[in-house]
Amino acid sequence: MLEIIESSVVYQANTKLVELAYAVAQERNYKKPSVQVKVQEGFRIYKLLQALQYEAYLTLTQRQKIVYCLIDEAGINDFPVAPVLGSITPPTISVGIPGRPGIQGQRGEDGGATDFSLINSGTDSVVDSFPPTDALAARWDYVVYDGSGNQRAGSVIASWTSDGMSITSPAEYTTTDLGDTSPIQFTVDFFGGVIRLNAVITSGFWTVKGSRYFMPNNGSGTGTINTSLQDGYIFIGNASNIATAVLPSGDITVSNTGVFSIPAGTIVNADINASAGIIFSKMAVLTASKIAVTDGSGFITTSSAATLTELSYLSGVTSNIQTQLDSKVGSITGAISTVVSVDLTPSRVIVSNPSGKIAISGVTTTELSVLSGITSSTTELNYSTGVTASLNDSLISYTTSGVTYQNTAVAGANFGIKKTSRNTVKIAGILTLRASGGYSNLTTYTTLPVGYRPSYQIYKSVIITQVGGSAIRTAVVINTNGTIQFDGNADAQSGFVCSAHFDGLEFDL
Amino acid sequence: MYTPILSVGITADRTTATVIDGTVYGGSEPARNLVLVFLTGDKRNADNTIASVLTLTPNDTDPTIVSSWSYDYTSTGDGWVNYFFVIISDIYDSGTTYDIYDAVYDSSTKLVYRSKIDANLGNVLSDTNSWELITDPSSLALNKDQPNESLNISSIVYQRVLTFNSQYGYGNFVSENASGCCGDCGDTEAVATYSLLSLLVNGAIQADYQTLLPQGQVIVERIAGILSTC
Repeated sequence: MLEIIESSVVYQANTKLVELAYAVAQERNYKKPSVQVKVQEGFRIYKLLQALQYEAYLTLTQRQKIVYCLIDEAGINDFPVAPVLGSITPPTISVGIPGRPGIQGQRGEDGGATDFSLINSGTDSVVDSFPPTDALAARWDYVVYDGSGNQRAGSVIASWTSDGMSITSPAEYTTTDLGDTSPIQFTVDFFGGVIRLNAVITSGFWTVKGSRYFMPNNGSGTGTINTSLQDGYIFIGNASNIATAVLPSGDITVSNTGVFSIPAGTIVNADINASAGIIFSKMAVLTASKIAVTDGSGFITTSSAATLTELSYLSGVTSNIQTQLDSKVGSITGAISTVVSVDLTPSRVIVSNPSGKIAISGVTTTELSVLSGITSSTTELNYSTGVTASLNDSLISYTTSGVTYQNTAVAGANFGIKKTSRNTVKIAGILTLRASGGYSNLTTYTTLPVGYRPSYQIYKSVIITQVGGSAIRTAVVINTNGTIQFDGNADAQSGFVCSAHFDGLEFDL
Repeated sequence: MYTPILSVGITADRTTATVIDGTVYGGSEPARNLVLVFLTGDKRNADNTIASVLTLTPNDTDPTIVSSWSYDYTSTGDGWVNYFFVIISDIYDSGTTYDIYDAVYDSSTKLVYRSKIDANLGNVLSDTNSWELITDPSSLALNKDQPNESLNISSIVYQRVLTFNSQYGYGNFVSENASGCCGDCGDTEAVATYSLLSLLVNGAIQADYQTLLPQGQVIVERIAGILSTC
């Protein structure tokens, strides 16, 4: 016998509704009588189902009538009934009419707690006690109330040593009072070998009920954290406060031996604290005792342009050095003041002017260069005193007239002519001669330069000596054309060296 | 393991449908931000062929965040839809032994891999002899109760016959024909259509409740046809 269950009937009626709708939907002409029959059948089933939804207002009899009508309309009795099998899996939908709720069971024992109580007491009382060896701490959860509506709940927590001799001041957390519960307070002490929770009652009659929880309460904990962790991972608490295995990432790395390291190129400027105060000894060492400058890339390097010693010369500088130098030039008053801001005429010899300042002379550098390599002494140079024409002109020029004269005698220091301050010409020295062939006439042998010639013919005595021969006293004649002639007796033997002694021969111009 | 809970909502103008993940995360299981959640879906014909694939947004690259997805309802409309929903909660751990078909994800890449072997211990995810990359993790939902089911994941193929447009059309039809017809409606034609639509719409709703998907699809198609001509 199939038990009629309302929910099962409703479910199957709904299935019938789907079947009818599906059948109608497959019809293209819903005005056909067969379709209209299905529509009306579905309409009735739906209305019956709808009526069952008003269960709050229907009696059981009324509901049963609707259910039976549904069975009829939906043809539920036509459905095959599955046999009842002992091992069949219970359907996921509810079957059978639920029974009445069972009798509520007794209250279960509070986990790990020991109840205590004090009933309607008006005096100080011990509410709970136990040996200190039972636990090292306890929490008493309580409610206190009297018969006048005064009430509060709270918890007292205290801890002690295993011998009970040392006990902490209890901590107490309470609700706000309903009325006034201040006449009853709790203390914890050790007396008579037991830990006691005492109710100190100053007025009224109070009832205390509660539960005591030991700490520790014989719990065994959950053991250590699972030590299994994937290679390279670390445990870290997630947002749900759960230790979670995470592969470390970010700027630093950590090896599976716990070594943290910072990969090359990780640290950037933003990583350095603005107040880090990194000392320069942590930087790469540069060449010692050099001035630090920036290179073309802006990096610090050393400079070879100036030494530290040179740099130290800047010590004490208080203003622009260039300005100071410029001001110095402008105030120069010494010898170079004439050349501070002007150039000199090119290629001139520098001299001092009558004011002692630098100036140029009329002598060109080309003229000055004539002195290059000069080795003459002052005495030698003085020989040219009085010379007013070319020194070549002042030299004795020779006439040969059959006699060759040794010209070295002419260039030597033994013979010379000069003008005197008395406007006379003075001839002094020895003129060494050599006759070259036989006895020769020594008459004219030189010509005085222009300016050194007498204005009238002059006769002077002169002695000629010849080596290997006798001395010859003769006279010399100086003509106005400058020729110097000897007397006709001044023949010298060929090959003999003769010396003509002009000693202080002087004549007027 | 989680108990996946999905629901489908619709905007008032019936243009956008939203699939909402109502699964309870945390507790004894990892929190939401520690698991990957994947959802795809398709619209089906009555013969169970795919009519269209749903374009869900956001198509987020970080599957640790999203908790709802939307798609254009104007193009899909009423009828049979399948949503493939998968929760991957196991982060790959080289110290854990995995069974064949177990699915894990790489915590750094958020990519999902499935074990190809039993007693899979210490093999890196790049070992193609031991692991295969699952490019569409939601497809793992299709393996539920199959021999190749991934027993360490939570999944569901959430199947619905959506009737939002049908319900609106039915109500609108009644409303339109109720105008000027107060208590004594003599429009037998309208009453007949009303009865027809009543049967079809309630049949479609029941098909949704009882997961009679092909029937539901046929019924809503018929409703759409009637509403388009009435």
